[in-house]
Amino acid sequence: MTFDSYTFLVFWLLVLGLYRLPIGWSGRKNVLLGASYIFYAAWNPPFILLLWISTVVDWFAARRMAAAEPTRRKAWLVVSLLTNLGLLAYFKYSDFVLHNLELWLAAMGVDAHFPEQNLILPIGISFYTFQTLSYTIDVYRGRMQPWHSFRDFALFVSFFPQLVAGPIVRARSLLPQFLRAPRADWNALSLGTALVILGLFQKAVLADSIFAPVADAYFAMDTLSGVQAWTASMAFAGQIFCDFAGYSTIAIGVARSLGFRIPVNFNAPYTAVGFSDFWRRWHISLSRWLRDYLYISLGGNRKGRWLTLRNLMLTMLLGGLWHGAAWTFVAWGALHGSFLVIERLTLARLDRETLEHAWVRGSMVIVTLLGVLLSWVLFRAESLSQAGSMFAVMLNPADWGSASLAAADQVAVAAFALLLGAQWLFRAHRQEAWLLRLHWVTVALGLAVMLTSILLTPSPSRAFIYFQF
Amino acid sequence: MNPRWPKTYLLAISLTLLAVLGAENHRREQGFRATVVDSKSLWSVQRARVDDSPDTLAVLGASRMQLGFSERAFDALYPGWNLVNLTVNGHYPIATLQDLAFNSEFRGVVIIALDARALFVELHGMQQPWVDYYHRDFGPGLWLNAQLAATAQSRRVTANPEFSMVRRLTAWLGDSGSPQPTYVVFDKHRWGHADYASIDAEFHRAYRADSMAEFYTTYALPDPDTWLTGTKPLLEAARVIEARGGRVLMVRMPTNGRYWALDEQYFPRRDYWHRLAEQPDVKALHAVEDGPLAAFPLPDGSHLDERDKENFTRILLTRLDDLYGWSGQHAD
Repeated sequence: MTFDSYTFLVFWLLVLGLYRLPIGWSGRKNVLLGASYIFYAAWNPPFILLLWISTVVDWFAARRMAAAEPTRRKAWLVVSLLTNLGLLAYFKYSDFVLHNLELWLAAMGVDAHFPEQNLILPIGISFYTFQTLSYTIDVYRGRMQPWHSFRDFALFVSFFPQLVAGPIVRARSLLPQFLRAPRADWNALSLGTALVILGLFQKAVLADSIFAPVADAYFAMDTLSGVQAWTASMAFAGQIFCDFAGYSTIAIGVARSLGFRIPVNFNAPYTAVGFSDFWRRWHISLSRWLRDYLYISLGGNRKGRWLTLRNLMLTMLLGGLWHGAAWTFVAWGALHGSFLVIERLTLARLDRETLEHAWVRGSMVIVTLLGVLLSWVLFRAESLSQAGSMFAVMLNPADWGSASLAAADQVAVAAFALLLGAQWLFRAHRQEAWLLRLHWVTVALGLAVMLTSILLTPSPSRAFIYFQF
Repeated sequence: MNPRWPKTYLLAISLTLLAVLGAENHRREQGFRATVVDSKSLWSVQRARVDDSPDTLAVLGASRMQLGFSERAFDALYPGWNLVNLTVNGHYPIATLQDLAFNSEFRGVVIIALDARALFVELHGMQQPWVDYYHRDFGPGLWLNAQLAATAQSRRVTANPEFSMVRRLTAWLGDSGSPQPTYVVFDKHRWGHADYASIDAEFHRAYRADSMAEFYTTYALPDPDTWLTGTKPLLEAARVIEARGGRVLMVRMPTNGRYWALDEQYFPRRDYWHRLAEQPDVKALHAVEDGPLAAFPLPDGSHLDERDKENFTRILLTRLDDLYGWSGQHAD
């Protein structure tokens, strides 16, 4: 079930209705748990078994871990890691691994052929795997105690607003919210609904109707001029932001309508001052997860300069691979890792005063945006060779060719410019804050424009990009 | 409750309704009709209705059958039957027949619309993406969403992506003109209804015939023996279904005028269709050889007008029943 579907609208209204029945907090949590499982099963019912496996294994692993001798704690953590990462690896990376094994064996002179698995990727598996692992790792590290209620834990793993595409919520943040009934009053519903409308506008109008057709058309072409390649990159940058940030905004809005708070996932990333800042603003919940459970586990920045750089690179490589089983994603992670390494080495030579200069900060914003635009080519390209061809024309002004763009391209470029302007304007404020700060007539006009645009911009529905991860 | 919210939503919803209803009214005044946008999900809704009942009729084919078959005529003639529309506009149906043969307990009746081109080996897989979508991607959520979307689209002209604000904006900037009222609308069950009185049918007739002439002169056409070899998957799938007690009825829908002359020139019946029809156990009907069916006007030379489809369907079903007794003879 996707947020931009009629099915979800019906589902959400039903959940809101049942959630407001006078059945006590325990009964309402049962409603949420049942709704979450229906939400997931609506896509492909048998795959709910995987969700249950992760839930049960991590529930017992955490409890046993807490009760075990220090020497046995690690064994229960390994059980949790192997189960969750094993399922993720099997469904997501089997074909990738086997295909590359074939190529490697062929290079060694061995002619081996493995049957293609062609497995269906369980929707959201990358997200709920990381979410539930955060619980067992936190219990292992002693940062939280095993939760006392299995039903609450099951709801934490499957909570439908952010189940299939994040934000990845930590157990320490969500589980305590299940202890007592949150305020799910009309204010929460009104604010949540406004966020849902904003997210739907980003997804249906901006991502699907303005940016995606341009990006799809250019990335399907064999040869592009430099101007076309930059346009394709901008269109995809707009599409992936509006698609993913739109999903996150809807998730936050739906949770808010039920009285829950889940953390923001995007904060004006295209206005970032440097690549470190970009990763503090883009897919924030994943960046923090990778920082806390991977980068720090590798040693973080505690073991000297070169090991810090190695850890950064490894974290970004694995972060890239998390996005998909293809070398283009690995290369995307490597490129961002390189950006971070170069940035760290460069900034270490500058003093604080220089870094605060307006022209330095402005230059960093531009360089970061250009770097991010280049990196999206790797993310979207069908192959490394396609990405290479695009880089070649993008980085050589002699290949930029004619600047004439089709009407759809012009609209996409203009929309991207407006998106940058909007991010700059609102970078210091959270969405909820400015919804409450603006005059009510302004908010009403904004909601009317967005609702009208959504209703009058029907398009063949495109799956949310991050569903495939 | 914060008093800003009721007035915010009251104003926002009022303005939205005003804008959407205004746009809807504007399009209707321009002569546009609401139409369902066909999709793989909607096809899958139909595919999901295939069950093991012998009283199921699955209709397969491309646009001629999608526009020429009348659900109303069928329901009147055969009440209680489960009618499943698996036609796909512009795509030949061999892959769907194979899916019914190999992937279900289907033992009902199939009416499959074919012509000589449908049996080119390289065109057998045209509907495979629909079959794959049904088996890989389709689920309960998409089932419900497809039906809700179809309901909305069948009521609102502006629910059609053709009228998307963004598409209109880019068309205006690109000076590519406004959309013209379409002569074909689709209903929730994916049947098409063509109103040829609303367009220049002669232009369409000439255009279709020209396109067909170009196809025949540029495509490497198979000789009769090669072509007959290409019918094996069709015959095999039909045999599997019939072995379970089902029926597979092959229909060559009518074409006329220059279109039909081209069909006969490049694929003469005696060398192609008749050789298929003569295969053991094949149940086939060529509409052009059947007086009443051949007599229907085809405004563009290939498709029926919505006003004629009920009569056509009634005669077609009765004729097939007379020939093959499909509605009463089941190996239960």
